[in-house]
Amino acid sequence: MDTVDLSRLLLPVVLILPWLLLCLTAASRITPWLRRCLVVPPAVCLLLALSAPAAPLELPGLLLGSQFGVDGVNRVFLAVTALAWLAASVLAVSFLGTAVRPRRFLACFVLAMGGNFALVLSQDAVSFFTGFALMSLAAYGLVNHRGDTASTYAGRVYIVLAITGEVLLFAALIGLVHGVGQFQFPLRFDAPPADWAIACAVLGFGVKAGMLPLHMSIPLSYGAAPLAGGVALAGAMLNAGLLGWLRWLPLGSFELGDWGLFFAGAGLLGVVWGVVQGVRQASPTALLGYSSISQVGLMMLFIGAGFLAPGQWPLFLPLLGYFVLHHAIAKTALFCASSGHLPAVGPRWLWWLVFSLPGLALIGVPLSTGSLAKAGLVEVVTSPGVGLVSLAPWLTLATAGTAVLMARWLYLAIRAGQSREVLAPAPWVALALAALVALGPLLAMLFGVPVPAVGEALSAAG
Amino acid sequence: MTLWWSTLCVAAPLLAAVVLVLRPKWPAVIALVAVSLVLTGALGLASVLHASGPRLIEIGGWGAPLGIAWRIDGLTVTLLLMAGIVGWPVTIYARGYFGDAPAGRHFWPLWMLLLTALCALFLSNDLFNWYVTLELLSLSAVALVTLSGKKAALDAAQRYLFTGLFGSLLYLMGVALIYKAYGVLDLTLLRELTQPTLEVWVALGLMAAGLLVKSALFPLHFWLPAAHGSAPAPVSAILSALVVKGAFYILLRLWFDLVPAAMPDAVSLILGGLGAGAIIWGSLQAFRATRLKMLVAYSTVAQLGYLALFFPLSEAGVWGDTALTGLVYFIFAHACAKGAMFLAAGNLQRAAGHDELASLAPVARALPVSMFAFAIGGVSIMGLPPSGGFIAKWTLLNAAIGSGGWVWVVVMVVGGLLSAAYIFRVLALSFAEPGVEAVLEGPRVAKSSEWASLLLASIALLLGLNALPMLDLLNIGLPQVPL
Amino acid sequence: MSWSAALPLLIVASSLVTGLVIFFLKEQSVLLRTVLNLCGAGIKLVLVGVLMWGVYQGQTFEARLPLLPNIELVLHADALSLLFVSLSTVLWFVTTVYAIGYLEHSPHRSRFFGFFSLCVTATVGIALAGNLITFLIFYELLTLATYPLLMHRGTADSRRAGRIYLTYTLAGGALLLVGVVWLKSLAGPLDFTATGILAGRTDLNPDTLRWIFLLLIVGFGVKAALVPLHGWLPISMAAPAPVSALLHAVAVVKAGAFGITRLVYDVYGVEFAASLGVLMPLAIVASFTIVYGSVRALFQDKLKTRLAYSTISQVSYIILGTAIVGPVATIGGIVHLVHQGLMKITLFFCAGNLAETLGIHRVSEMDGVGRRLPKTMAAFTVAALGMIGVPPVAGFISKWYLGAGALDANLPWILVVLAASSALNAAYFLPILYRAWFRPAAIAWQERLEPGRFETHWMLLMPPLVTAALALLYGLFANMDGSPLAWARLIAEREYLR
Repeated sequence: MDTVDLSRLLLPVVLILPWLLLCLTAASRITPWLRRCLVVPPAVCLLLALSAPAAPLELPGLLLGSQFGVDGVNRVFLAVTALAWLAASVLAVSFLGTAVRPRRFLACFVLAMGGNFALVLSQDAVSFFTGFALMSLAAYGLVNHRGDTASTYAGRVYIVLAITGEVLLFAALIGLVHGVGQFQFPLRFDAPPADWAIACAVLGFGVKAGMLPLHMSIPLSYGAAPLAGGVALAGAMLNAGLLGWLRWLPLGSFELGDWGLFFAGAGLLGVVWGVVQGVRQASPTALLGYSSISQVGLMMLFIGAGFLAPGQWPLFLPLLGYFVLHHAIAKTALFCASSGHLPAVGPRWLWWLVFSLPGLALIGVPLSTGSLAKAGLVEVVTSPGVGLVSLAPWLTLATAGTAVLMARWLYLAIRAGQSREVLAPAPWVALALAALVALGPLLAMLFGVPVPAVGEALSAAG
Repeated sequence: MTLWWSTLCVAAPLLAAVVLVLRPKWPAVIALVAVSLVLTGALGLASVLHASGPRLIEIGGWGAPLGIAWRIDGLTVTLLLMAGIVGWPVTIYARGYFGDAPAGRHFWPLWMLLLTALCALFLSNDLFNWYVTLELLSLSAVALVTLSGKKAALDAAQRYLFTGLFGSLLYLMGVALIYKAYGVLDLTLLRELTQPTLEVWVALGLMAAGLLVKSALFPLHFWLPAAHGSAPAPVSAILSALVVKGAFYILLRLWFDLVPAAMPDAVSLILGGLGAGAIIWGSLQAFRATRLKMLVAYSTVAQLGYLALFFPLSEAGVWGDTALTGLVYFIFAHACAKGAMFLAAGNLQRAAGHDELASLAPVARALPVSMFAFAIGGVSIMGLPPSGGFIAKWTLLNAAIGSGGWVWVVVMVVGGLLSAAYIFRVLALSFAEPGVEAVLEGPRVAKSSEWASLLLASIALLLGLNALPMLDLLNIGLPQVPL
Repeated sequence: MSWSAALPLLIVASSLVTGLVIFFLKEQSVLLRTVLNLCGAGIKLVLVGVLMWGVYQGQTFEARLPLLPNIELVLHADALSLLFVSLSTVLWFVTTVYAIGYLEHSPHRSRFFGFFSLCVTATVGIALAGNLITFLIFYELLTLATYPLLMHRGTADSRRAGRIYLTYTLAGGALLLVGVVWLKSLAGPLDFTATGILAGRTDLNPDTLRWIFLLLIVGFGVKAALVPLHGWLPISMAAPAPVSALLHAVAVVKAGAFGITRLVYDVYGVEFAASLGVLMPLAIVASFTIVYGSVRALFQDKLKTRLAYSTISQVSYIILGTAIVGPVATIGGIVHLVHQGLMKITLFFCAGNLAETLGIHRVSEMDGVGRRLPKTMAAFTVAALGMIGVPPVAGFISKWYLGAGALDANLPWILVVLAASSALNAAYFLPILYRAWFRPAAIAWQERLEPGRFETHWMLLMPPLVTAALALLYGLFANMDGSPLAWARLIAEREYLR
């Protein structure tokens, strides 16, 4: 079958499948077969991400006129999202066998997944907002599944921040989109939008992405959620906030120096704070939460650069995309590994060695995906139009910090031992993802990220 | 034809009264036939009016000043219609109410006599005829009040009698003064003759005072609540719906025909002020009443105040016509609504054996039709749509606002709200705490009595659906235009 | 009489006649009464369908009955009235089903359903009223028809509720009457026209018009529960659940809001009203009401009272949309008329189910009810999320248009009001959802009722599911032809047509 046709076929399937599954969850008993169905939507979604993009799907009757499709911006995010949800689903299939209130977890899980797919695929702001809202609210059920004091507290923090974010995004939606007069991405701004609208969008998505100081819920919820939920939160939903910034903010159209510096500053703060707080954690998953905050701080530098040098944004965007891909896969792998479950085959040390591969990638050791991602970041930060050259030493420091953080994670994960949840497939998922990370350069080629070419282009421009 | 129809209105009840005195058999049927004939006569007159306009007719062929003339115009015919329409359900009701009780034997001829007097009063056009009919009306009314034979009723009747006589006396003195000055009593002639002399002022003052006493305008209402409250229910209905309107009708005619244009504004303002006082005071008393029938009677005191509001409004040129329309509609709607409320109250009283509001709730729940009738009548009294009362209130408000009489607007609005306050006191009885079983101590209430009250209430409701036919009728020969 | 004149009359009559017949039925004739109820509601549904089809084909439907000189009773079907009439007809049908199930064993059912039908007659009359006088007549009729429903239980609480309700509404009605008479005496027949009767009337004194506007707004504001005229609404929760549902979603509160919409658009004309300077104060009052209602709702433990304060807040969205000049805000206000109706009626149905099935009246007793009544609570969840403004439930669509309209009219502070309201709505609705779904179930009610085939009587379960589904579908497919949003756009187009 022709790939173009394939993606046209897959697109509506990916959008509808989670809701079909939700109906099944509501209507029938939670049978093992139903549980196994959980892996189907993310698998199809991954297939969609890998097939070539096709014309968007237009649904004028839906909401205020919706469009869904895969384009240059969201393709990486789609792949990441699909991978993370696939990993989460595999864990959930196993986890749900013994969980309390499986129906509620399943419903929330599927709702969040459906919302996440919809938002990533959406080509218009209202659909994006809708998917985002569904995902955010449904994820409460993942965070506060256990219902003990800690997860109730984490849930409360999470929902308060999520609602705050939703409200801010609603204001941003009106402020940004209504001024433009069209919902379709990319939003074509005639003039720089009002600062309050940008601020609302920055903060609204910042809640999800873990931007300082709205990061509070991230480590709490990562620690409180069952591992299947945590994987989805860390690998997929975090990136939704990032995608929101890319979709909604007037990147590449105007030079908004103040916002550029804000992103750079907040990002740097996140990098440092993530490390400082991360090493103090006692739970490996909470530590991973702080690591995410730190990594998002790095990603925010890309966006800051985009505001400072709008002309070069088309060059920065693929680099950021690669960073996102790398981070999400590595983080998902680490999460799966945090379960502490080890298969009977092979020596323990070998498994832990494999599990530390994604950590090494995050640090940016050569030959890993991380090395390429870091190289891209350095390219962007030091690119002459951006004027953030002074940040270069900080990046080195960040690398060192990440190294400390990862060492601490390994220590904690080994010491914590096996979690109480039944998660037999977790190590295998971690293994698969670790392999992906190790095959980083291949991934880069797959998604057409010409890192050396960027360097050449930059030096030519300089 | 005009003469024939108008004579029918007077002769039919008179004949019925005579027959009932002589041979009291099937009284209700005879009375019903008489009332139907009055209604027929009124309808006949209405069709004649539509065909050939208003007129004066001379009884026995002698014209004024020697003979008696009747005035047939829209106002007269509307009021005759009112008498006929209210009379019908009241008659049906009375049959069930009195049954074979001895009081009933006296009721029927008296009621017919009262109807005769009322019809003659509406048709008359000279001062002395009015005196005669008014006396007849009052005396038959007093006799009707005594029917129950209880001490309270006798006391009230006595007071009613003396007050009525006093009012008549005042009126008669005024008539005498006029006669002394001009030598005629026919209103059409007097209209041409009267001058604003002191003598005329005094005469008008005396007549007005007498009529105000009889129509129970605040603060001359003192006799009304007791009389209306203690009479048998059908009598109360007749008194509140019809009898008080008789005296007011004469006042209205005098206002248009005898009162000179040079009358100071203060007079109408005073009358309006009394009306306002009546509305507020009467409503408050009704709200404080502990007995159902007293509540309804005080409501009559309040509603009569609206009639007096007409006088200041009538001064305002074109809005005066609107006000008159509203006034007549008000009289008509009030007659139906108040009649229905008294009939319904009578049913409740009958079933409970008393009419103390505090312990009426079980009965109220046992007689839903009567309560429904009371509610519909109440809606009209409150001036809420859809009802005749709403049309009347709308029109009066329109006149008040149009002429800038904001004081009267406020009075009407407040009056409406106060009336709601006391009427819903009664209606709330229907919604007593569940589990309270109805214990009916009094005799069984006839179904016909229940439905009669609902019928009369429905008429008040229907009046609110289309006002045009009645207004068309009313506008034939307005009283302010000489014939 | 021609068909086009008869149809509006028939629509009004279909429930009036039903109601009057039901009054005289014996208490025991359950089957006959049920059949009558459903037939009346069904016939009305069909007739409204025919009406909509006819209007869609370009026919005009109008019935004129003489009332007074120069005053006619006019029943007229325009786009705005169709929106309201179809809403009330559909919801009446649903509520009738619900009420039959709810009142299965309670006394005085004939009285109840009689007045219930009268209530809907009045609402449909309000929807179809073609001029201010007709509107006023049905508006007052609604007051009267609702009173017995409020008093239905006859307890001290409900009697107090009835008394307070009457005090408020009759006083408001009196002011309304004065305002209408006044306006009529100045401006002649007050037939609603799409761009306003008074627009362009330079012969009228603006100050007088402002006074009249004030009188009319107060008159409508009482029913629409604008602060400070809202006092009756939380107390009226003493009524049975179907009554509360009808009161809040369709009849009383909506009548007030609809009246304000009519007043601003079809009597004054929105631009003329803005030039008189009366809309800004209205917007401020509405905004204050929105926030005030939400804040008060936070502190209510009784579920129905919490919902009542929520209504106070939500209905003012409609008024806010009306008070902001500009087609976008107009769309938001008008479409919320439908959306709020669907969502709020769902919430009240669910509250009724909780009370009827488990005897739960308070939020604090709701721990774990999601497991016992999953379908009911799912409907509740959808509606509550809609109230907060979470897409894709319909409430989001309203909020979007209101916010965008406020920005168009250069009133960014309204955006703050909307945002604050959303946050507050979340603050009082999410704890309920949390309790229902995430708290362990209380033991007290667990054994109360043996769950049958459904979690509760099917007549109690179906209505909330249907209305919740509609609320969801109307949001999800807002852009489709025939959705409330499409109607609202059509209406807005006409209101701003020159």
